[in-house]
Amino acid sequence: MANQAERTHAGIVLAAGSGTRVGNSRNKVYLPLAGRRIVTWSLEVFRKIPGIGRLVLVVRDDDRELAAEVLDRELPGVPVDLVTGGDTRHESEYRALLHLAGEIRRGAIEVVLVHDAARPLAPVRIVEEVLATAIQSGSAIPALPCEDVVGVDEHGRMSHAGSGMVRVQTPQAFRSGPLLAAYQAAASDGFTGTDTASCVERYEGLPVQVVAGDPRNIKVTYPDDLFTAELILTTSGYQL
Amino acid sequence: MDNVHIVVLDCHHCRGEHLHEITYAGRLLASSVCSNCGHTVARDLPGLRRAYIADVEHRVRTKPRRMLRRVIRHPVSFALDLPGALLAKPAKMEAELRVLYGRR
Repeated sequence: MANQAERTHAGIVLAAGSGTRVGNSRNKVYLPLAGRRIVTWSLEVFRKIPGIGRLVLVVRDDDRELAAEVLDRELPGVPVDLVTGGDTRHESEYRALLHLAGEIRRGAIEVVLVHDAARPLAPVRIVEEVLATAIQSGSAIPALPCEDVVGVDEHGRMSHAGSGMVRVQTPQAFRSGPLLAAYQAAASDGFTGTDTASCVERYEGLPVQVVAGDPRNIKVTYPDDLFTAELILTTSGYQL
Repeated sequence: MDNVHIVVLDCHHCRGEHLHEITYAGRLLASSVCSNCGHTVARDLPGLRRAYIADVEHRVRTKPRRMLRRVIRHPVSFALDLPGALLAKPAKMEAELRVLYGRR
């Protein structure tokens, strides 16, 4: 078992399933944004947290070369492990966890944070909060209240007001042991979760603690998101 | 970095995921065009030109530091790539100016 001084936290950035790819098109997480690639910004936030000592980038097999080149150019000297992802988000997470499994079993990794590469603007404050909450209670996800959401029944009628509904963001943080155990149990069952929290809740019964998200922590989905992201980065002096 | 990138993004206008052509002026986003419906999102050109000038100043100021970092890390590939990079520079600048003046 690793002693306290050897323990660290790991950040996993998922870039294997970011959008569809057609013909010669590129994975959107390698688009330039304010002088760096989107994926670099997404990794950079983990690099700013002193407690996060392990970084893993999950990529598509045919993006490996590009990913290595981007890391060498934009995050020189920062050790980032490249892991080939699977067909689903769930499978990509599992492969990243298997990559870290030895260290998790030795107790060298306390908390694992899982982040979407397409969210380049996660503020440091969110990462610190999910990490601190996961250390204390086992798991944490950032979310924003979405008060304008309502349910609709099969006849198209409003069925209930959307109070208590939240819009989930990343990074999500979990104690590494239960997280790995949940994914191993899911693999034996053939279960595929929609996000990390759903798998941990189902197999480990860990209550997932919600911390305040941030409206700036957008996921690049539409072209407008790119322009918004660039504006947020430039107006914040590139310090989120 | 190239100044035109093709990626799949969702389109607000025609809905669904489609190829988009994303054009940059230097490091700045200039426009996005949906290949399915032609829906275009673009920065206003005067604003883009102002931002571009500020960005070029920054690029010029930081160039020596960036070059030095590359020389230290990859001296051989730096030396091999330098002539090509110098030769390609005028065409690259011309492409950026064409974007800034709406000629592409």
